[in-house]
Amino acid sequence: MTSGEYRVESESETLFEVLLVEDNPADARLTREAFAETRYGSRLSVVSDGYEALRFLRRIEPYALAPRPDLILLDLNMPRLDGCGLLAQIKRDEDLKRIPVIMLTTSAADSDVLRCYNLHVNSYVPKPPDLERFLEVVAKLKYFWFEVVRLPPK
Amino acid sequence: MSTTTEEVAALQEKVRYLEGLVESYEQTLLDQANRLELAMQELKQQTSILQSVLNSIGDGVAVINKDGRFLLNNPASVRILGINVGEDNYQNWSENYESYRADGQPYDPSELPLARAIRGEEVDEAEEFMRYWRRPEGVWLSVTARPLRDEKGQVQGGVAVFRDITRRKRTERHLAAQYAVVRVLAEASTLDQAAQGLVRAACESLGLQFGTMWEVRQGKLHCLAVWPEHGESAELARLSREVLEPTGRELPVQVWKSGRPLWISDLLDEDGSPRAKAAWDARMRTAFAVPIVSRTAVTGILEFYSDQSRACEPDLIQLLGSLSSLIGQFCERKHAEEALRDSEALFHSLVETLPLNILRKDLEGRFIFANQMFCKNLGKPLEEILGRTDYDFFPADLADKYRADDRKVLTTQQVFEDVEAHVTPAGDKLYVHVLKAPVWDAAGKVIGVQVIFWDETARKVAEEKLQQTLAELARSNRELELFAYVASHDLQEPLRMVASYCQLLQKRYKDKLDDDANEFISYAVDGALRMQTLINDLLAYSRVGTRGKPLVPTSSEAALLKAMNNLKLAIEESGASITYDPLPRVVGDTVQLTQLFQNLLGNALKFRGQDAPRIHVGAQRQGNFWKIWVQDNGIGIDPADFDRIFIIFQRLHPRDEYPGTGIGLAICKKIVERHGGRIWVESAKGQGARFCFTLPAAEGTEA
Repeated sequence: MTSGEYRVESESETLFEVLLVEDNPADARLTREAFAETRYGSRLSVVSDGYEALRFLRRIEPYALAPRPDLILLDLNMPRLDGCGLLAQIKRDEDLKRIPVIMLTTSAADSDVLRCYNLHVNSYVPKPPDLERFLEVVAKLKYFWFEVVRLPPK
Repeated sequence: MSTTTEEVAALQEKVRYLEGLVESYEQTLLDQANRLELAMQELKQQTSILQSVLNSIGDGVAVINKDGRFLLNNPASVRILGINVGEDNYQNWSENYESYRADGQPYDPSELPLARAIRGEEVDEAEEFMRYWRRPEGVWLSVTARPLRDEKGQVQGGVAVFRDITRRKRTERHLAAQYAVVRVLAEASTLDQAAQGLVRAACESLGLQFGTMWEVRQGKLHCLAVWPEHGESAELARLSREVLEPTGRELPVQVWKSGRPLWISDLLDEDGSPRAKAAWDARMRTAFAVPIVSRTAVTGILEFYSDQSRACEPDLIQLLGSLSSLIGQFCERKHAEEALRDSEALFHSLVETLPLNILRKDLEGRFIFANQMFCKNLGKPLEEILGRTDYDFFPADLADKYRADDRKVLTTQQVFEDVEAHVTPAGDKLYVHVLKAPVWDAAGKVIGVQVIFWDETARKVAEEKLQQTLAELARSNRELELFAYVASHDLQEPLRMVASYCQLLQKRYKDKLDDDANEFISYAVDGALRMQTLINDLLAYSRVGTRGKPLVPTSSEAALLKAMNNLKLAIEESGASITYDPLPRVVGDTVQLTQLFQNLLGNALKFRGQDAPRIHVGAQRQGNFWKIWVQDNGIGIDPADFDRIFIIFQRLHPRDEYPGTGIGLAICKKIVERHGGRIWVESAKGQGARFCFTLPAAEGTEA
């Protein structure tokens, strides 16, 4: 996958648009697999860094037709513009700031957690190292955001 | 018949003339008788006056005729000489009286004053020492003698007037003795040196024949001097050279033991010790000794012998007492001088041998003292330094600084300390440690500054190097920890991929693969998961250093309780009983202390024996630290493994017996060491284990 490309998880009825910003294809794929495990209909777009993500969000080429996501999943460590940098940009942007942003990362360091909340992240979710637990967490995330929460109207 | 008128008249005239003559003769006779009577009365009166004068005067008056017979001895003479008129003849004087000249030589009988007087000579105030049966101690006389001549000038006898000057002579002798002793003491520098002269001076000035002096040393009496060493008393002198034991009966020993003077009037009475016998053989008759007291202790003895049998003479004893006190004072003074000299020598050698530059300056900054080290370093002889100032030797700015420092010392009267950093002309760094202190005179007035300085470059450079090394070490430790943290963090990612995709394979394709494939995948998953645990442990281990909180006074008991709470489930499951002493406040990181207790308690629960775990936590103060221990009744540890258990990832047991990566104790060690303490284990296999560690005590608080 090259930068600028994005893939959707399900072509069927698209209920929720999710943007995953993750530079590691294996990780991205794993998250995609985890999303596929659940029954909630959602389309997962993946970009490989914060820079691409901004272009995606602002519908700059090649993302002119990109959907506005309902939820953004962010990794911390990425080339060019990292998770925190992107988070700051999103939360400064009058239009984008209301899109919930979830940090999904392996780091459980207090400093990272603090930094992200200080930048108004909506939730910080450490990735469990174990697959089963990870699948569980993704399922719960989807349940929470797509089922429990009322998202801002588009 | 009738006589003629003229005849009658003439006769009458004659008769009248004769009558007148008779009358005048009678008158003359009467006058003469009267005069005689008067003269006799006068003579009688004069004789009586003379007699009463002779009777009452204190001076002795003796008159002899030219044959030497005493014609007159007044009462004073009788008292002094013990003789009566007519009883004695001056010619055989020498049979009854021993007479000596002032110089101690016996008188030749023909040279005695009265003997000279009847030869027509005059003697004025000759001093004579005389001894006879009634006055065995002797009498000193001052004798004046004159010949008695008749009207033709022929010598008919002699008269002697004499006076008892014994008291005066004794005083003179005592003064002479004191003078002699003082002189000897003044010239001597040690008692040893003085001793011989002292004994001799005392003997000679007091007319004593033998003397000794002793010193108390190491519980015995040692002879310092004997005088004279030769002659009749040689044997006594030889015997005196010996050391006297405190148990002896000799005269010096008795005086030493009693601390009082002792007088032996007759040596025949003595016990018959060899010394007493030798003294008797040397014709000594009387002996006496006095203690020499210095600082209330008897430090020596003076002992004397006389060849006369003499009753105790209190004033002589008193004199010797004053002499011995002079000697005692001398000893004390010498002791003090010696001590002063010793300390002088000590300080001098310190000043000159210590590798320190020592100097003194007066109020104007002029050098008044400099030790050799300073002279050497300045490259100038002492005489070129004294009287000069810093401005003569150092650049003006440096001298200004020195002078300013000196002034500070002079005004504050406080010690000033500084480490001066200099750069040598060659560009090398030079550190000089300086101590400046005020110098006071005896009256307490500040009279200058004492400066001590030394080159501290080597120490300072070493210190700097050490600081540098320590900083480097700390940095490399920090880097290492950071590296471990980053490395393990970054290792997590790919590993998570391996583990996750293996698990995904397992999950999705379990039914599509054969048994071998499933087994292989399960091994891969197992390995990856274990690797994850190890990496997590490594992360936790490196966090002890990188994520620690500041060390502050905190309750170790609270940390223990927190740890027990965290382990609540495990404690309940194992049926363990945990007891603990009151635990102290320590300086530490509560989170890490909790982890420490949790790891140790966890181990105690994990490595349990057959019985339910019984765990006790104790504490004991050790100086600035608290020793805290966790004692269990578990399987114990072989002493051979004591060191191994604290190494990271070291395990003593197979994984299926006791799970774990072997990180717990390594973390404990790291936590304790971060707190400045140490950790160790006391145990025997099968006897339970006691893990001990020390933590710094929170100041001023007890358990």
